[in-house]
Parts: sequence; structure tokens; C-alpha cells
Amino acid sequence: MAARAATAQVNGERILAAAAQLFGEQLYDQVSLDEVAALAGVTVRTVVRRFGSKLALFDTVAEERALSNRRAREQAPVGEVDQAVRILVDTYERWGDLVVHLLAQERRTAAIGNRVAAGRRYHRIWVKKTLSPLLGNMPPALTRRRLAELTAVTDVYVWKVLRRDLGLSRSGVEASVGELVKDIIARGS
Amino acid sequence: MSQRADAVAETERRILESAERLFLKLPYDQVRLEDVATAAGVSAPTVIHRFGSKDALILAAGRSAAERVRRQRGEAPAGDLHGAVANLIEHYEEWGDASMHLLSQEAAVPTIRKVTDDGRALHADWVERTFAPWLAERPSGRRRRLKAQLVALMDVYVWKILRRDRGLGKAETEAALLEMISALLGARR
Repeated sequence: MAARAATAQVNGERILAAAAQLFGEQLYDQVSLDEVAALAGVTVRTVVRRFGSKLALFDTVAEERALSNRRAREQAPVGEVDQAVRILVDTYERWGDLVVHLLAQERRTAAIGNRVAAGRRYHRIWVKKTLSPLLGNMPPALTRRRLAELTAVTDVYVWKVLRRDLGLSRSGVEASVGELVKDIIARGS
Repeated sequence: MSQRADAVAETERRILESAERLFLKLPYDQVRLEDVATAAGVSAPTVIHRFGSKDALILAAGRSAAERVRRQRGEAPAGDLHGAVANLIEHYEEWGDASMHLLSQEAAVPTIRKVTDDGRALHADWVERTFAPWLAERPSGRRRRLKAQLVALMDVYVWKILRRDRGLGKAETEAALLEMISALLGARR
């Protein structure tokens, strides 16, 4: 009984790992449960029994990633730019390429659209919580604009442009984003 | 003879115009040469005769669009921050959504990657030329980072986040970019 439960758990983990890999490499439409099963070394029946459908499997993988991402980001202390940016860049180094890959599909695939919309909401809330205390008192309209600016310069796209398009090193990206954030904060009202 | 040459050029122009419109509206795999032909008021064989293939057609449409973009962005005078940002905003109001549409397909469609690569090169050249006076006064170690920051801040992604995700108006998006860039140029001289 215990052996069977252990096997089931190992299978579940292998299926999730295979799915994560394939959803990260291919377009959602191109991923098939057959391929997930083959990569995980189980039968399609096992995949279906465990996870139901491709959509459910995607959601499980995405939810797990989202939780890890949030756990990492929640480590950022409020009002500490350098640490916040370091943690942020950490998460982008791990998941940035995957997120960019998903963002490219958000309008084609509803399951992905919902996920990235949730991710954007979370990013905005995180920026507000972590960085807005540094903005100090200013008129609400200005606060709103500065928060929009902070949200933009800390977005995964900026990491992508600096790191992938322009080939900056990880520490170069960290320094660049840190400066952009500090400039916005230093501007005052 | 010259009348015939005019008619040929006019047909080509109409095909490129229709192609541009469809490629910027639909995913690449949904654009059919028949529809381009119909929209241009010619037959599909005419399109194939002139341009060869769908890949060749999108590249030709991309080149003709890039030429217009280069002309418009070339109007930004070097060393004029307000002029540069106003020029950029005009460009994105016209091309921002279209660029995002292409960027979302670049990983999956190699021909689109060529168009977006050209766009990235054009943008980087524009930054280098328009911001030359500020770049020149930085020591070379800082110059590369400043250029990367400028390229990233003025990338279409940042415009998209401010204008579409955060819903800032055109004027406020311009104000936001202007204050971020002037802070960047004013700091750490």
C-alpha cells in the first residue's frame, strides 16, 4: 500500500516535471498529453487519471510556479530597493524566459491569458506593497503615475530586454533596474 | 511603357498595403495569400508572381513599413529630450499594438523574428543617435549601461505596460517616460 502510494507520488511528480518542460518549450496548442506521458515514462491513462485534462494539467503546473514565485517575492522586505530588486531578478533568472513564452500566447490561449492576468495583478500589488512606502506623500494622481512607472521598470519585459536582447550580465541587470527604481523614487513630488 | 510601370508599382503598393494590414491584425498562420489578393483587388497568382511566397511577402511588407517608421523616427532631433519622447509616443500610438502583435509571434515564426530583429536594431540606432550627446559625456564603462537603460525604458514593452496595462492616457504616458528618462540622464553624471 505504502509502496503503491509512493509510486503514485513519483509518477505525479514526473508528470508535472514533464508537463512543465513541454509547456515551457512549446506553444500550448502543440503540447499533447501523449508527449507528456512519454516524457514522464507513464501511460496517457495515468496522466488523465491523475490530472484530468491538458487544461487541468497546465493549471496545476502554473499554480505551482505561481506559488513558488510568490513565496520568493514575499521575502522582499518593504522599502528596501536593493533587496527587492535582487529577489525580483532572482525570480526572473529562474522563470523569466518561461513567463515571456507564456505572455506571447496570452491572446491566443484563454488558459494562459487568465494566468498571466493574475501574474500582472500580483506584480502590481507586490510593487505597491514593497516600493510605494518609499514614494512618500504626493497627490494621488502622481502616486498613481509613479506606481505605474515602478510597475513598468520592474516588469519581466524590462528584464528580458536588458538580459536577453542586450545581453547584460545578471548583475548588470540588477544594477540597471535598481537605478531606474531609485530614480523614480528620488524624483519626489 | 511608363504607364505600365506605374500600374505595376501601384499594384505592388496595394498588395503590400493589404499584406501589412492583415499581418498586423491576424496571427501569421491565419493570413492567406488569397485574402491579401482579394483585399488588394488582384488575383492570388498575381501576388505569388510579384512576391513569391507568404514569407517573402511579409518581409517585403516589413521593409516598406520599416522605411516609413525610420523616416518618422528620424525626425527626432538629436539632443532634444522632449522632442525625442514626443516622437517616440507618436510612433507607439501608431505602431505599439502592431509591434506587440508581431513580438508575440517572433519565437514561433522565424520570418517574423527577422522583422522584429530589424525593429530592435532600428530602435537601438535611434537611441544611440538621439541620445548621443548624453552618451558621449559618460565614461565608457557607464555608457553601455546607460544606453541599455535607455533602450529598455523606451522599448515598446514599457509603453504597452503604461498605456495598455496601467491605462495611462497618451499625455500621461509621455509625461511618465519623460520623467523617467530625465531622471536617468540627470543622475550619476
